[in-house]
Amino acid sequence: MSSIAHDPAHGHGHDDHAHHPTGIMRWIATTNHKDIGTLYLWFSFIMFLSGGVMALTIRAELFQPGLQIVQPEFFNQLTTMHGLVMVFGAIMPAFVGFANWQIPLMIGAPDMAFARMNNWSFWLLPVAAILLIGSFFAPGGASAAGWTLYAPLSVQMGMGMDMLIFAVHIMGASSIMGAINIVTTILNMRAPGMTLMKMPLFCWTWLITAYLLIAVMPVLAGAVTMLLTDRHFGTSFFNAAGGGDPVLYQHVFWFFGHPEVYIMILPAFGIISQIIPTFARKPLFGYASMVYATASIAILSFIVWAHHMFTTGMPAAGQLFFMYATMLIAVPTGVKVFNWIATMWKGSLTFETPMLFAVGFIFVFTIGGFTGLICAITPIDVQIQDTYYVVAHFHYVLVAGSLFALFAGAYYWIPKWTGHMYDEGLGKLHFWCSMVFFNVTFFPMHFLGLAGMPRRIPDYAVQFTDFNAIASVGAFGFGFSQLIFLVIVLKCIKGGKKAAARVWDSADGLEWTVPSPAPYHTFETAPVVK
Amino acid sequence: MFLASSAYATDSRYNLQTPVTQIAQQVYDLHTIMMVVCLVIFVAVFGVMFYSIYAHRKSKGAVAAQWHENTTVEVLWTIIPVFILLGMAWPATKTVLAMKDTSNSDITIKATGYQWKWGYDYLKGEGEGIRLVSNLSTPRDQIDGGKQSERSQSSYLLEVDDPLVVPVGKKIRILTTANDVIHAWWVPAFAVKQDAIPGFIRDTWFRADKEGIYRGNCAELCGKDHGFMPIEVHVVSAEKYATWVAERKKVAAAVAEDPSKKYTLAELKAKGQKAYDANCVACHQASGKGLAPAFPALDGSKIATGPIAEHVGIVLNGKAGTAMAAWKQLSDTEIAAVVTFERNNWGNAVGDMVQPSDIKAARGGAQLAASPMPALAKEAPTESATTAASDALPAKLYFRVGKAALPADAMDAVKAVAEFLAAKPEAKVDITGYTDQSGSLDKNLELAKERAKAVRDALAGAGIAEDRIHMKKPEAVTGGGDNREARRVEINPAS
Repeated sequence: MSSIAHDPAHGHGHDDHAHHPTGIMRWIATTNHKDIGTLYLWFSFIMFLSGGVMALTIRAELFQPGLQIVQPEFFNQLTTMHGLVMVFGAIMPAFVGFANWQIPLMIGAPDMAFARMNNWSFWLLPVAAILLIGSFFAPGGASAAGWTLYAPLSVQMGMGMDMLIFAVHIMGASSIMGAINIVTTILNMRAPGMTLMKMPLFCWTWLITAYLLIAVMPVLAGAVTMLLTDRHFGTSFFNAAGGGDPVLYQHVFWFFGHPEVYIMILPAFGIISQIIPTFARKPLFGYASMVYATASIAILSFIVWAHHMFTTGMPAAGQLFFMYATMLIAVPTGVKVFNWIATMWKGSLTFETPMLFAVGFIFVFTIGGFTGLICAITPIDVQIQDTYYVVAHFHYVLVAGSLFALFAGAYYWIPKWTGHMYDEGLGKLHFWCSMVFFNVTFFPMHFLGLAGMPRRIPDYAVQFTDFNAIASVGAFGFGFSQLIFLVIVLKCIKGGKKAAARVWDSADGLEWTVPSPAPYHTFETAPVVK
Repeated sequence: MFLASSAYATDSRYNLQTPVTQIAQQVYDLHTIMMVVCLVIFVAVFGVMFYSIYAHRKSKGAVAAQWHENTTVEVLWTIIPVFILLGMAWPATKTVLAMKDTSNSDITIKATGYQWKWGYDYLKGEGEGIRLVSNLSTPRDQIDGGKQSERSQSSYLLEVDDPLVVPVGKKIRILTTANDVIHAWWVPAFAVKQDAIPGFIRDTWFRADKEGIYRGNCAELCGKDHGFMPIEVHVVSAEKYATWVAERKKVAAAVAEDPSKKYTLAELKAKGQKAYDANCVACHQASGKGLAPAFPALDGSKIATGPIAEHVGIVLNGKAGTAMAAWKQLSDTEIAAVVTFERNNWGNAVGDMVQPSDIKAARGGAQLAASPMPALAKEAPTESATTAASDALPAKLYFRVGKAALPADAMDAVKAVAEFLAAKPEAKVDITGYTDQSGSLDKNLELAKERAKAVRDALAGAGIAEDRIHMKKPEAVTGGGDNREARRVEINPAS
């Protein structure tokens, strides 16, 4: 990553700050937000590939009926770890990587507020990842209780479960520290003149996300701690024989789990809201309503958790309340989609790779939004809960949503990070392969779920054969398409067309006022925003 | 690729299964309406977007406008969706209320989830008292490495050895609970999915309008064989149902086990093999080698070759913190047989055995909790475990729901305690009443007290002086699967 190293040609009067360690120590000891952002992004990409290998093993087993490749117990370990690795290892750290790189650049701050804590937040993650992946090699293997770790099944698990609980604690600590850092940076370190309502929308969505993280990560820590004491210290939080209740676990977990869904999608909304105006050459439509919509989604996310539990047997009043509250989320989400489309309307559109991914995001994410609305209707949810319909739904919002937004953002800002343009042809290939194979993989799952195929099963009834075969083919196509992205990034780091300071002709924002690649230290003197 | 046949033939592979209950029909229609509304909005919104992509391109010379807000439009596209949502919520609410109304059922059946099978108890209505267990009947070797052509029938993985049978057109209330972890009882054609939660009872209902065979699966991840515990429901005419009930009752009477019957080693081993194949083989494997490390080997294991009491204990009560569940639901004969089988099969040749009567004693239950384990003989048929006086305490007496009257079957225990006290004139006892926690706490505690008093009176009636009996404070507790543990009175040596 030498291209990110400080280039003395862009001297800015503080060369003494540039004497940082080189080699491996640079990365271990770094307190620079750009270095740490880079570390987060590489870490998340490695985890993305690991989680992807697990997904492909699952899809290979499901290619046809019968057990061919893995045994049921290991299959359950794979589904569990695929979920955890993708959520906590790939998607969340990737967004934190974007926050590290972009927030100081976008608000005109020299670095994050707590630079040393920033280093600590990152370096906790590889430790957690080693615990998580290492649990496959523990006696009994990794946890096979599903990523939701429902009690009492998770109480039955072996030592891999304890490793997982410890890993979740560590990742939670890392997330909380990262969130505190982001909140403090945004609230205290904005350039003079940048009022909150002038802030780029990416910073707004991250500010709100950071509050969500601080609110719910301790709840998850509490849930897994109760699991731990139930497992080893004789408590009975989730054991009816001791006066506890297994459903309590689900309430606590989903009180974390539903805001978590928005933690993974709100920053994606932010990225898309930066990209669409640039390539429409037109200001974002309804900036203020975007901010309010984001805040409403965050607030609503705290009162809808039990829609994950419609089949636990809650009273009718409970089912109705959570159904109505969940349906309400469609309103602010709809506002966002309408705003993006209104931004494009009467613009002057071009379709470079970031824009392709952004438009692809709006299109496919909205399908996930509609299936979310269908899942919100309690009687329908009773039919499709724990089926492949739900699997399709959340992959539409997490892959076509969060992941596509991450790709869009990566293509949008990588010239700023490396100083080189990426290979546009390969970028478009990456988009079209991802888009097509994504839909080939996940669209048939709607049919499987409706027709009655449960999720988390290693073998299935024969009438589900053809759609499973199609999904498996799509999954391998999607998986290998991501190697194109790796090639593009490596090529872009090594060389390519020099990128200008303002990489995109109508891009707006402070990050485009510094040279490309962004110097090691930026905004040591705060810019003034008018 | 195989085309579905028989039961699934009429089902679309692109949509919900053909409904056979009114609720399922409502759900089906709701889904159709939602799909149509969503599709219309989708086409309208993305029609606009794709038109913009087509018409407002820079390459076509489009010049960007610079407007960026319009309050009227923004208010409109906030308000209109709210009304659309209200329109969707109305029919959905009606269906929710109908789904939750489990009152006035004709037949009540308890479905218990086990790792990994379903047990059914007909609790109320025609067929009351019938109990059956549905195991996956697809052969294991067809799943593991069988040829695809062998799997081409539509019931692959959706077939059981002993299906649930219900009459057509009757309201069937299903109570769900579980023995180990959370399961979910799901039959798509009925639009019924209800989690089965260990230690709790939940309920749901259906009224099937059409005779036929309907299939479903466990829908909540419940461990290794979650994918292999199907549900098969046969909906039959009222006459056929009556015939089935009569047959069941006859068979049940014929095979009713004599609990004091003594079996030979060979008989026990043969019965044990059957019980093992139905219950244990999924984890411990036919070879007895298990699947290390989660599912330990029985062949040569310390438990299966060690003291027999411990072996029985682990089968009866399971092992906390592991996947080994309690197998209390098996009959005394089955447990005796399977334990004997495990000790004398594969490389194990302990040579001892255990009889059903010993298991009955080991369970405690309505009789006295037996501790230590009754003597277990080698090779020769065991003697019936006589209740030694010292085993009389502690005793547990179980009451009926909401009743404080001492049930007849608890009188033996009272007698045993009375004999024990008569033999040991210096001994004193504590009596504690328990109830469950549902309903008013005050009422429950009053009930617990009444139960404890009933026991005291019975002891007094057997000639025990009241000053030797100390009444402890009543307690409300949660008490396991059917709350039986919560309906007890305990007699303990005085503390």
